[in-house]
Amino acid sequence: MTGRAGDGNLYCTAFVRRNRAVADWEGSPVSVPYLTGMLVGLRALTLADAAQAGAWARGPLAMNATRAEAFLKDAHTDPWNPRRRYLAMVRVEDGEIVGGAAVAGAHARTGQLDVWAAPWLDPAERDRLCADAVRIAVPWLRDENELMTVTLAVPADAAETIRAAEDLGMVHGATLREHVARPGGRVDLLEYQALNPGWTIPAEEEASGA
Amino acid sequence: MRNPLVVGSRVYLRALETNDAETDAAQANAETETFMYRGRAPASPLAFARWIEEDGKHPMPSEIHLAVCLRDGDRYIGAVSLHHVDYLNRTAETGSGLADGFRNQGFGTEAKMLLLEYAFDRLHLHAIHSHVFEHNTRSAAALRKQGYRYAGRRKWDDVKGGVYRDGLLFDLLREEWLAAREAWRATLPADVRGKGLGRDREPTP
Repeated sequence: MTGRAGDGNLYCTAFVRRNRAVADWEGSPVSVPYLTGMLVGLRALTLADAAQAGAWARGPLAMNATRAEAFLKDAHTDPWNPRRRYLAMVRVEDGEIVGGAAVAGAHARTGQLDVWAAPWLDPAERDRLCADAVRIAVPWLRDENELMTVTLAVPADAAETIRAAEDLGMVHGATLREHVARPGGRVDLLEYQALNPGWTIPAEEEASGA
Repeated sequence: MRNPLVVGSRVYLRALETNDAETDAAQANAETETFMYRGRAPASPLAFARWIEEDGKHPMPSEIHLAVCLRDGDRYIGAVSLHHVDYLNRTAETGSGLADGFRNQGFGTEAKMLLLEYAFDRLHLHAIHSHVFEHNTRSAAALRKQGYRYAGRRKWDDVKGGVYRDGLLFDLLREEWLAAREAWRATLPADVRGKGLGRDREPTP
């Protein structure tokens, strides 16, 4: 298959323009205009963020500032080829850290995107923020970094995030049953992939993979 | 048996020891198959020793690698693993590998059943998944035999034979594993069925 990469970049640019007026945090040296959405932006983490690890660290376990500093130093040893790139998810309106993201495999052929919102937010708000982060991160990885595939796992009850993934043309490839624990029950984990149309796949291989 | 963790009729699982590194390297260097991964590479015991040493440092590890040993003679013949163990959502990914010369004799299935017993009944995981490349039809067939259900496809996952290949995902719930274990037990000779894994027993606390 053949195609043209770049539509996602236009999508990102549109978001940047719309938010320029309210994005105070854009003046910060770590802000990233090309990763700014309607609700949130993604940016690199710094040692100053250690005190807010409860927002950007994945999961419900507590992380104090000392441990967060150690984690941040360990996660930032190679600016050119990080094993895993951790990002802060920042609310555009006020610059507060409201979640995080991680990318494994950036600058390689395939990438795994993971986004999450701070545990103190209500589930619907977390879903909205994650959806916005997906809208800006997937085009960045697929179209600018030219990853061949971007993989994203989404709980089946995250309706906004699923909608964002599908709006971006991501393909639902797999369902892992009952893989996410929720209060009082469990939900499936859906795996979506953005397949880069800029890559050319020989026709016979496409047929064998169908 | 040496430091057993889960015991079956012919094999048992134990923690990996640093002095297993020599065997690990020897097994890797003697590998005859190339279909499982991108390709083979010379292995040093130094890397395995370091890996095992690091592996043992974590009290709640996200990666659990267990040695598969023969009950008869304690020979270390391969390893089974839980990857990405998630203690909050209670999930993990399984993996396994036996040394050349010990495949297709039922040791792998028994080791995998012991690993799943460890995962479901000792770690109390709720759901398991596994990933194989689509060209690895042998492992996909083994997973189905162990009760795993096909969960979907990961496109363009790796390269094999000069073309991009998909990965296949499988998942497994405890009830499905129990049913598969019963079906597997029924295929065993009666004298084997009564030993180790064949015994009906309460989950270990």
